Amino acid sequence: MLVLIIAANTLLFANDDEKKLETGKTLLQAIHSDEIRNIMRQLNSLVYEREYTELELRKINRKQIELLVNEAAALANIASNLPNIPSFKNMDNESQLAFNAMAKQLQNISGELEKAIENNHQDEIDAAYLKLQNTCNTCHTLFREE
Amino acid sequence: MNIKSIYTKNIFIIVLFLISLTVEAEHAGPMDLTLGGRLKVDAIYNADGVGGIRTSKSDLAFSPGSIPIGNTGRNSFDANLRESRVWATLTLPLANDALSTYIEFDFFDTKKDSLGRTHIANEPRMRHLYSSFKNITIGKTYTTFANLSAFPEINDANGPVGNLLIRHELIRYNIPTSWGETFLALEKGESSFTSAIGSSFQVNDDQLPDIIGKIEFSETWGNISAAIMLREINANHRIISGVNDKKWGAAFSASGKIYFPKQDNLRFTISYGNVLGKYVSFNAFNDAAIDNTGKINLIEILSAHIAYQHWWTTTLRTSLVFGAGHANQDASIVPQTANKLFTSSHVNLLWSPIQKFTVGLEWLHGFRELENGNDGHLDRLQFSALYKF
Repeated sequence: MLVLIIAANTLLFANDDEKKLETGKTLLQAIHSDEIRNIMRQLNSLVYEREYTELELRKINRKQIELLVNEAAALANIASNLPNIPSFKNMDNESQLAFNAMAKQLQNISGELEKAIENNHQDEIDAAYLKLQNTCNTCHTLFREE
Repeated sequence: MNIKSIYTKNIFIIVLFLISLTVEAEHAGPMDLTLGGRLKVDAIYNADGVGGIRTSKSDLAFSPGSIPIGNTGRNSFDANLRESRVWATLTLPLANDALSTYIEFDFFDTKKDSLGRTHIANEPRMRHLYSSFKNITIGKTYTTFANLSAFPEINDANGPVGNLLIRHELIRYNIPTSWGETFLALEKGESSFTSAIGSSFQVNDDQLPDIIGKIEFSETWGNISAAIMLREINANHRIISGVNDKKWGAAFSASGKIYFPKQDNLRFTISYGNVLGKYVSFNAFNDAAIDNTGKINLIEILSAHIAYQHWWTTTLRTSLVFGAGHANQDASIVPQTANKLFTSSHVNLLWSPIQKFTVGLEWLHGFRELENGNDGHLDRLQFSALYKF
């Protein structure tokens, strides 16, 4: 549970010193998701809640992750259609390949996380969530306007 | 801790453990036991003492009813670890779901030692003990009437005036929906009264549980909840032998937590009703007054709190909190020394260099006014360090 919250915070405030995630614009605006950011913000805030019991925190956390899976799957779907938009076509070949690989990975990990939630295995959820967080973080770092 | 208390708590734990073992044996599923807690150290300076005795709970956690009327000239300093907590969860897969049990203790039990000192006694106090299976929760935990996300992040253990923060025995049924959740609950009734001479007392005459319904809307911008409560307030033979009286009353509450850019958030609770006494502001007002003929007069209460939390950086934040509670009671029944109005203001600066650890300083100003117009105030400075494990 705490692992998930720390991961959420890492994503929300990652690279904060460089103001990348907070102020920078993604290079490909089509895959920006305010919903995902809001969900991550709620996940992060749970660690500072003082009166929820551990069982209640788990329940809220599970709900937020389910929302996150839906949003991530939608995002991956958008990403897979990116070759049709102009800003993607302006990227060099190497960047296009890298982006496609990241989009595919996002799709796979969303599915993995969804399955872990269905199975109700906390360890699997934690692991898949960390992978998702890393994928998001890497993509946001790579594909951002200077 | 007295023998009876030890016995009761241990019996609870043993029974739960045996139930879990039995269910596990029957279903051969893996049992998951998780332990955790927090260490919290508080250093508190009261600019005007509260409660009258140095080591009363009021000196350690804000209790509006203990704000001194007039300046007592008694400043005090205290340090304690009583708000530290330990908890355990026991989860057992069962019928495509999970039976989860939770138990939590803090150290706020303030029994006196043989010399009458309470500040050295840090005995465990059970905060929660409940089990959840599918949509049903049974046990002792926070009332369904409250929205816990509306509780501001402050150092004080009790929170602001207007806060709904009571734990007691309940049975709760929740229905998850696409937009949030609906709750129905029966909770322990325990009426509190103001007598004709002004003293507060509780009776064990309640015959029906409190009935609570709540709907909660959750979205990525936050959540808002609305709750309704029906209570029967009952007193038998309390003032005049042979005189029984009971009255039904209702209360409403709306509360929530709304997110702003970054981590900033607004939390609020507003409550109104004539059976709120036990539920709001730590029973600073009572549920009802009993007149000289033994008849019950319900006390109408309006209370609210609002809190804005601003994040200065990713680790440093400030909460600005204001709470107020007002009782509209029949002046011909309650004494002139009965509480009429409370307010509290809190401002803090908290820092979490790592997420498990928070340290910070908080200032609290409390105000209390009686029916006769006399008032008093309390200023408190509280330093806290909290580590979650």
